[in-house]
Amino acid sequence: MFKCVPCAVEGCRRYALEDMYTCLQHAENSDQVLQSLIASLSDSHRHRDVVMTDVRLKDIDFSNVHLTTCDFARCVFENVDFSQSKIQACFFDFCLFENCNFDGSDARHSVVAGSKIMGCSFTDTLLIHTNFMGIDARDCDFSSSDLYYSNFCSSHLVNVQFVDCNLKNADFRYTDRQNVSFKYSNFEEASFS
Amino acid sequence: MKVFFHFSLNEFSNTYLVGPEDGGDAILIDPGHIDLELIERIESNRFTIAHVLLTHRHPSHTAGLGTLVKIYDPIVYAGSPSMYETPVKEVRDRAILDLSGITVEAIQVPGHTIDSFVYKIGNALFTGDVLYAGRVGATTGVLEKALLLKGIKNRLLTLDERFLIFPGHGTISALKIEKMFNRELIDAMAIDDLAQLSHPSIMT
Repeated sequence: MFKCVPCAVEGCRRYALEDMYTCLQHAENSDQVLQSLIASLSDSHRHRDVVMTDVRLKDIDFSNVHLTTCDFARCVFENVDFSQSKIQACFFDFCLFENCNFDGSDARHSVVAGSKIMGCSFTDTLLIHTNFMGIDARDCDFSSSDLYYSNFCSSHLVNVQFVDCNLKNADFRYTDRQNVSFKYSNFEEASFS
Repeated sequence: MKVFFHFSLNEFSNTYLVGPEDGGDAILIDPGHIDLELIERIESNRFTIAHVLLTHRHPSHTAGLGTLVKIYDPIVYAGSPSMYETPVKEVRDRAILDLSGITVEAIQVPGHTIDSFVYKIGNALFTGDVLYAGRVGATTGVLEKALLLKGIKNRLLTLDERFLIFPGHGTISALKIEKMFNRELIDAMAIDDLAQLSHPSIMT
């Protein structure tokens, strides 16, 4: 599991980067550190316990990445490609995802709660046991995905497609839904009340 | 420290494996069902299950104990030792356990069962059936529910909201997420606030 070592700068509530004393924002040469982190994450190796919170990432190819127990809380992802990635037990809580692609990825046991997700594609994705509580999703496509035991409690969904999904034990209680389609999905096995 | 999540189709419960980075003595939390996948995960990480923590007595969290004891002979910790067929060490509220170098704090939060414990390891809370993502634990009556909510309010919600939550069922979460989006918890706390205005002695 990622370590939650507080940033050494007094008053900062962020966590320190792995093997460093400060968070990215307080690191010397933070741009250089960020670029080296992105380069290291982009390779095809398995990455574990990476802490990279409160970062803005734009136009980056993270396809085929392997991430396990990492913390990306409060990041902004713009036009980031996570397709065919393997993401296990990672935290993406309170993030902003805009025009990101997760197609064909395996993102099980992760946490995306509290995030704003706009124009993102999650088709043919394994999202089992994933926490989407309180998300604000707009113009997103989860079609052909396995959402077994995933939790969308208290979320706000507008123009979201769940076509031909496995929704067994998925939790949609207290959701606010506008133009949401569950066509060909087993929504009877999900919880709505 | 590594934390592994294992999902059991037997009653849809979660088992957690916590161990050091380079293998050795590990902790298994709530062995609801021991299957080959879990054994392979233990062995491939060169772990030996030296300790078992039980969050409460229900079979969906303890049914694999018999199998596990035959393979690894761990020391088992739980709130009600007399409830089990295998020898169990009693855990007391606020006990600090040193389990092969991993520090565990036991926090008793009764209500779901009288012996319900939450285990705090590093920045993680293993909440069993006390608190899930989007729900609070089921109870058998209103007094038990009040006891559970009081425990959650006083013992868990007072912790740093960045604590991660690893529940006995459902998805992993964080304390901040539950504070913001767990409708059952939000409703209960709102009722609690109202109750304090009119009957200060009920739940404070």
